[in-house]
Amino acid sequence: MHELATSEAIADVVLEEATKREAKKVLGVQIEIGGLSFLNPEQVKFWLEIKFEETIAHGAKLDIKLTKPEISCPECDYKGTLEMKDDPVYHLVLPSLSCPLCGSGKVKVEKGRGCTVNRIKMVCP
Amino acid sequence: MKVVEPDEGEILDIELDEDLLRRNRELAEKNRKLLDQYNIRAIDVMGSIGSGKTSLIMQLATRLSGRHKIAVIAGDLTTTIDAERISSAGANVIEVNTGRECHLDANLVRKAISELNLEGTDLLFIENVGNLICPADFPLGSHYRVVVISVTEGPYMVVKHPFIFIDADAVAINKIDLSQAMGVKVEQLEQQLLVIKPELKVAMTNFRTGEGIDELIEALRL
Repeated sequence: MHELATSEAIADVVLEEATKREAKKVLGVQIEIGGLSFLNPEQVKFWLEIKFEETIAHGAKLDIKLTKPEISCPECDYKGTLEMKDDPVYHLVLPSLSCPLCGSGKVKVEKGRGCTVNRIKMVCP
Repeated sequence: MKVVEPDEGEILDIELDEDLLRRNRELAEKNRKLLDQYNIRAIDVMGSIGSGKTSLIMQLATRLSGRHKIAVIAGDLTTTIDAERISSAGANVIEVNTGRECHLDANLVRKAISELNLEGTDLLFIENVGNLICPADFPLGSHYRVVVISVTEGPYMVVKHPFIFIDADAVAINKIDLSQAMGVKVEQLEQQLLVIKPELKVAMTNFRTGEGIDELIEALRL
């Protein structure tokens, strides 16, 4: 359910920026959602379209990308994506917060937790 | 509705890079600094509805009240049931009603902390709203994060919600006395947890009898 709250925050950021620049219309918004966040891009889009109704951002093109998480390992200096391990019992893949190179469990999440408004395209006077 | 047709030259493409979860993280860091200033250790207790979050806090409060000055921030949608239960175990409780929100955030916790007697506290439990999804996106400024799950939620709890465990330090697999009746293999849940995060401390618990509480106290270095 926190997609609603997050979408409200996105709408605030976009509309504040548009007001500040005296924009007549917002044409597009580019949003990045980290793969380790719990936000569902489809739901964010749904709420955002509702939040933008009757505003200058109504009908703006919403470009929402889900980005891959990245980790780093302090023991072998690995930097890269998170390993997904198969669980043969359930035929599911589990994200694994361990280093795919050296197996250390002390890895740090570098990317993938955020939700960022990257770009706004607007018509200004 | 009037449609504005822009000329090409009038379109502004603005790079913003505004991270919406960053505001919460910054507030969480402030909470953490304030707690550190008063030497208060804070533990965020997360978990699904009915898994045993309140029971865990009651057990810990009862056992640790001799050597710690304990306070509890109890998050709940609208009721004070949990806060009253914890109060009866002798801890100083501040209730936070989140209304429609599904998680506590750093701002709500900041307000709750401002109501606390900081000098009279050295151990703070923050009971999150029962939910395995949303709380993971909102760090509160705690030093440790504990997730409580229970066998009555079935055998797929861990594989269905793997991401909440990535941010956890310890996990309690609760109600283990019911594992046979539920057909849930607790060892399998533990294995799945350790695949997700090898550093996790996992305790098998029964909060009704107090089984496994000592292991958790040790894991959290209380």
